[in-house]
Amino acid sequence: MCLPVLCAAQSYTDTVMINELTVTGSRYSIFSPEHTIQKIDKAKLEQHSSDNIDALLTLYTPGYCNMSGYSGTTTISLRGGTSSRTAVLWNGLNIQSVTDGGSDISLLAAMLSDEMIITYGNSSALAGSGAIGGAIHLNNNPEFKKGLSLKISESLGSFMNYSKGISFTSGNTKYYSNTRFIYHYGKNNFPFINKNEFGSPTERQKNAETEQYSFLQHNSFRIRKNQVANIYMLFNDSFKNEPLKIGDKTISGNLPYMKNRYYRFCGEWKRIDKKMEYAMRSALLYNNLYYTIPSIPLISDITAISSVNEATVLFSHKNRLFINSGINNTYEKALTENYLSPPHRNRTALFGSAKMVSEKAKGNMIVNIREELTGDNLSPFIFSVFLEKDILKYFSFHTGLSQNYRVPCFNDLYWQDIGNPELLPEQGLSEDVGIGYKYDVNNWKLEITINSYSSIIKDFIIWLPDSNNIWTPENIGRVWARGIENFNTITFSGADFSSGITNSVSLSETTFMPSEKLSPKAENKQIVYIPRIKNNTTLFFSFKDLYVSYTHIFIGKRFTTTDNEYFVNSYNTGNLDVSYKFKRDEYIFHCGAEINNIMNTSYLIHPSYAMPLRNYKLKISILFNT
Amino acid sequence: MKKYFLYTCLSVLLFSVGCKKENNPLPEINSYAYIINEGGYGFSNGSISAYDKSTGIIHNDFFREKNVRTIGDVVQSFSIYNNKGYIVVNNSNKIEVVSYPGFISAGTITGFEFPISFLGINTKAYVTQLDGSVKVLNLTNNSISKTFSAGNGPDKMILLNSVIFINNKGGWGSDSTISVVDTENDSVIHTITVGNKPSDMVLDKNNKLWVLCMGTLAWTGSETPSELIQIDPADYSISYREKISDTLHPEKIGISSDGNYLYYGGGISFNGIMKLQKGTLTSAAVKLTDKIWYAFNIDPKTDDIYALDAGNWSSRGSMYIYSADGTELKSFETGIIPNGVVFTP
Repeated sequence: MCLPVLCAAQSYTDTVMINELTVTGSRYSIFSPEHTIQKIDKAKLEQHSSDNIDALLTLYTPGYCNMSGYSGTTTISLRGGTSSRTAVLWNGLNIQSVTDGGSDISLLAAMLSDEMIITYGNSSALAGSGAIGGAIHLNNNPEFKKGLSLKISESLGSFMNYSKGISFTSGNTKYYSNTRFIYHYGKNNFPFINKNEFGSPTERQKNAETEQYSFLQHNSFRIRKNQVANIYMLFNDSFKNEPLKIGDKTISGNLPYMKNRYYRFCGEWKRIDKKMEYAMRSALLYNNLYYTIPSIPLISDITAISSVNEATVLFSHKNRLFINSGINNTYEKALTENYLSPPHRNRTALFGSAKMVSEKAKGNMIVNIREELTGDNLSPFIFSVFLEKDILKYFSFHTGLSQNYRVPCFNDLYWQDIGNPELLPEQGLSEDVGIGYKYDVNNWKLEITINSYSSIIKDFIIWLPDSNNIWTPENIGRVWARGIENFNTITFSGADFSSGITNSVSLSETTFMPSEKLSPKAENKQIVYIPRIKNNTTLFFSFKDLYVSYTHIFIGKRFTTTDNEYFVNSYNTGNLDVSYKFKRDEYIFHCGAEINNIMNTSYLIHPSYAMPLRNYKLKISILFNT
Repeated sequence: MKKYFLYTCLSVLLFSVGCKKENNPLPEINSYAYIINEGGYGFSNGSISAYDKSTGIIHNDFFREKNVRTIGDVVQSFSIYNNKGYIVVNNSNKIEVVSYPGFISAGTITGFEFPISFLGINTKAYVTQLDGSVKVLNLTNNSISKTFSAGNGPDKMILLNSVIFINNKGGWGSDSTISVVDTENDSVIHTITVGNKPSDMVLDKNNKLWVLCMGTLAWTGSETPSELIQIDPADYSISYREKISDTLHPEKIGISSDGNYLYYGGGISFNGIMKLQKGTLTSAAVKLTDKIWYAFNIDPKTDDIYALDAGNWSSRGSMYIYSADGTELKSFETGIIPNGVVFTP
């Protein structure tokens, strides 16, 4: 049983999915406990095809997206884990930045993925370093079927935001080719209420223009009946002005901006026999980030390159026993003047997994292990053990124990004059326990899952100012992340209609434990920018080809200083989405409209950057199939 | 008898009410010290704290308390001029104007590029900026009337007769000059070369200008010594010059009310506040406290030392008040990164 929130949501789709295991999905989908998996289905991705994935994570998951302004850098936090402790994997490849350890998810277009899966907590044994809080999986799945498909989509929204996308698919039973291109532009000159000014005037956001191009080419070949090869190429080029902070009265043109360019190439091969599955892959990842404040002038130009090679073997027996083992080698290098010399490192990991499913699939036990050599340093022994069992008629019980870790990023280790090459990797012991309830009778479906978790991270790395106000990274001691996640779904489906409510609640307490390296004022205080409460609720209704949904979000207070004396207020917002689909000959039209922040709430995510009031979007897509 | 008793009670009651009012007078306007709290860069949590010397109570977030809103990003300095307060907000590129002593918002002046300090003269004012320029404000309509260039990182300003002395602290680079500005035609008329990074200045009772040059720090790779320099404003000549240290870099200077003692210390690397009798060498200076202070100021009325501790630079700082001989009197929490104290005139 996977998490109920989106598995039972909007079920219509424009294409038929052929259920195929791919290299990218097999290990994670088989060996992740179901109670920690949340799947964003393809219909939801299509509904938000003009957005980046941060919109989906904000609306439909307990994950918290920290934004430096409406159009600024956005990072994801799962289970209080912050950005560098939440892995983002593209077709199984970790795309977290080797320089700062995080990932700007506002640059990841939803349209470029066929599937988005979130695994909460306990992910290091599968995903490696940087997955203490969990992982976001973005996957592309080939469909070997004959025909051509062309989809053109366009959206136009408030503040001169528009996007154009095109997706072309061709193939047959042996060959699949998919090409996707998306362009997005936003002027983002939205009005906002400036409560930091006398009289709380309404002002216009300045210097928030963004432009982004993304291109994906996915080719898949069925070499033989039981052998598949995939080739992926992904390019992304973006330009973002740094939004002017609230109350900043700068009038000159020398304002900060950022350019981000990345290329990803991946080739993989898989062979599936009756009981054995073999897979190999190679990938090359390139990222260049250029940031400047012309008025100083300040320039930061960083290039990061990674190459990944991986081989795995999977044994399965009657869908009741699965054993996997593999080896992964990742080479990372960064080029920038911010480091004394270009750092590089080799990371080699051996991993293994086993899953035993009981008779009649009433329960299962999963064990994952991993050992990684980073340069000359051996990681702590990483493992995860999970137990899931159906108890009583509709109830299930699950529990898990895992050891997780994160190696320091290059900025932590090598930033000129202030990096700390003696930093130890973080490691943490996590446990979770919970129950699930599932009732599926006739047209009604009710699913409830409650997970509680507790994770103590040792040698937590944080940048703190020293007595000279120079910020340096240090292992400051322990952080304790604990909380409760609750997922609920009630749906009713009829012949032509369905309706329901999906809801997720996250209660998260992530605090610094007492440490001699930490100011006493910060002890037992919530880590900055992690809300204690997040609540998403979606009401949806579909009748034939009409779909209507309203999503309400509540985000609790977020502290901005380590002593928790300063904070950003909690807020409520709501989004309404209406879409309609109709067919003419071979064409399927999809029209939709959104009203975002329908209550016109004046709210902040970061204390210095404004967020838009009520805003609108129109969207249309045309799908042609042969 | 009852009537007299009633009258007596009423009289006592009225008298008591009258006494009650007199026992709780409004704070004297000359009893406040305002602490300037920069706040974390980029977090818009700069603030002003108001310390009521008569009651010993500190009001943190005083501006927000009065105006129900925050000031902005990096509060750099505060000046009181012509019954108004001018709060220079560096990273918000503005000056917040407040009534004084009420501290009620009276407007915002914009058009700056990383402003640092404010100095009012007659109906105009000067604002130094990190980019090396100085803005001239017309205070009748709060508009910028002129811009001229000083050195790198013009910082503080001191008015003497009709000229302004500006220490050029270096800004994003380095400098070792004092700019002399003619307030008649708003231009630099002289440049005095002093030591590296002149970081602070005071005038003594003889109207001699004392300049503390902090020197460049070791981590820059080109460390230079700190110096104490006296300038004669009559001819802009250096009348006294002494090296303080090759390796220690105090950043702040103060002077006692009688002009007999100089105080120096503060900054991000200097331990303590030194008290120096004028006319003696810095080697004879007495160390009053054993702590690294971000800044300090001397109360011109009492000679008490207000020492500011930035703490961990990301949460509330502290202010310690010492007597002139270094005895600790009181301590308080302030806002984030307190960088200076302004005493009511």
